[in-house]
Amino acid sequence: MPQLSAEELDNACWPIFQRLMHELGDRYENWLVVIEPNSSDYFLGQDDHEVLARARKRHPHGSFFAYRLNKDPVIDTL
Amino acid sequence: MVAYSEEGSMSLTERKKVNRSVRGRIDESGKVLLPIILVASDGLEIEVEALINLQFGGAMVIPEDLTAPLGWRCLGARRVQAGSEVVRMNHYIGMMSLGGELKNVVVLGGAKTHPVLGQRLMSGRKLTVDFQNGTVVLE
Repeated sequence: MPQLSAEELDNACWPIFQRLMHELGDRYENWLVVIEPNSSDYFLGQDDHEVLARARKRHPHGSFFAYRLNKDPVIDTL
Repeated sequence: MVAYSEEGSMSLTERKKVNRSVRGRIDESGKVLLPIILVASDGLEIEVEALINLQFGGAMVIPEDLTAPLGWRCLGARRVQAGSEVVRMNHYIGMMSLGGELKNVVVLGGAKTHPVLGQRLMSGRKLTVDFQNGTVVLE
């Protein structure tokens, strides 16, 4: 599968994120979630390096979109 | 991009044995800069100056055009609040050194000019910025 752009990846992962927000948002508010869109696998954690490394280990060639489990899913502020 | 360090041409391994302190500088426009080493996927060390941004809670942002020579694989992207707008930025896991300590960190692609260092890399360390003498030391 060709590499998706950041926008395409976000669009592919957004419905999965919305489902996870509904199912897990209360319990894991403000945790990070990293989503692999083809498998719909997701990885939860509080440290972005740890979560992204775990996702990469499971999907060595995968691309992942990361969100914060929050109404504002932004992860970093510059 | 040029880095300034007391250790000069020592290898990374030799530098690790010296100490963790890093000396940087304040440029003519007041930017606080520290030298860092980025380690490419083939082991090549690239030394660059990075801008300290204590508002940024993550580890590092680098210009996207620097990721190709480093050979780091893009692991996807995330949403980032950049000023008043939300942008999507690619993320990588890259190896770097800030004062001899070699570590893997999450790196975002998209800095405009200099790489940017955030709070994550300052944690547990002492940063001294002396505007009078124009010196920067991270211990």
